Amino acid sequence: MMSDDFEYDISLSINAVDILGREEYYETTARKAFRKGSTRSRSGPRVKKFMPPDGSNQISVNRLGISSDTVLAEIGKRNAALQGRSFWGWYVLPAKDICDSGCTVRASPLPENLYHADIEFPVALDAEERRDALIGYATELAYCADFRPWGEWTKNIS
Amino acid sequence: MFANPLMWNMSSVSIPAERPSPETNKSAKFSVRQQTSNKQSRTVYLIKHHQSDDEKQQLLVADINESINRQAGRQINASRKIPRNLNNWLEAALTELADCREEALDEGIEVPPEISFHNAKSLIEHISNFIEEQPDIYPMDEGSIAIDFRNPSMRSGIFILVDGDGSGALFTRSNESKGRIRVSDAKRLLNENLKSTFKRFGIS
Repeated sequence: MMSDDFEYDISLSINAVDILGREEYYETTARKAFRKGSTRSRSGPRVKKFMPPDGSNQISVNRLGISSDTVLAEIGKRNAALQGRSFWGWYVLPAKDICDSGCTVRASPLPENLYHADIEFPVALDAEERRDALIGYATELAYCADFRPWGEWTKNIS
Repeated sequence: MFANPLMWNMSSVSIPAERPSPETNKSAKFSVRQQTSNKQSRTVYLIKHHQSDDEKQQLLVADINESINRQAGRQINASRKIPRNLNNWLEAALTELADCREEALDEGIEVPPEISFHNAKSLIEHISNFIEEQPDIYPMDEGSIAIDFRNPSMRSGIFILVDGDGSGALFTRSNESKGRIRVSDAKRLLNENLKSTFKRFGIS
């Protein structure tokens, strides 16, 4: 939720070409995503990375490009540490692809993360077959996304 | 091109043999029966292997090629076209399937029940007979297992969900269309339309 008592000077407008990034905290998945991206044999982020949590219609992303990757990686590391994990990179996709999928994206800066945004799924919380509908949208997003690793860990992968 | 082998006058010997398995599928066993065509002096191998007719045909043609070359005294090119081993990813995929249990525990989501593994295995084994690209296999929420086939060049794919209650769903996505089929028994996804669905979405 956005706090009332902090100031920011970042535009809340998200353009079609803006890149959004969803953080990856799992090593196994990150390694697979990176290998896939390299070989293109089984390319693509997993659908579950874009599934909203139970009872929610939105997932958190960061607005890459409006700050340096180093700053955003620090945010990623901090978020990962809160879950006892490490930060491995982002699944990135342009705002246009999000909108084309039928979802919307809106800036939702937080006191601790001015670059925070939400992807919102147009599925009613009490919709019939809600899970399948969410998977349909998550699939759309996953198919449009690419993995962008962060850190030195990729150097040891052949 | 070759004539239909069944039209040849075949005679002779049966040689039961275990053929070195191509690619990584070490468990593949072939029973090869060698027959000689008197009229055309060609050796034909009849291959018994529990795989698709298409693959049998490819193996047969390759072996016929090799046989003709050998009889003609030609040096066989080691890089001759090797028939596709369509399920060369099956072993790796089943390992990935087995890893779903540990992965679910690691991610703190519900571990898929036995029926999910059983149904997912059936689907994977069936699909491996006609698809070359290995899918990504991973646990989803609610005890489900995802079998995810992609065609990255077209941003299209087929996403199969095997649910913990035995049901299943198949999601398709391409630039032109998207769709979903849900069935109460995931094994009902194993029908003759499945192969054509893969073809339609550019996954081979």
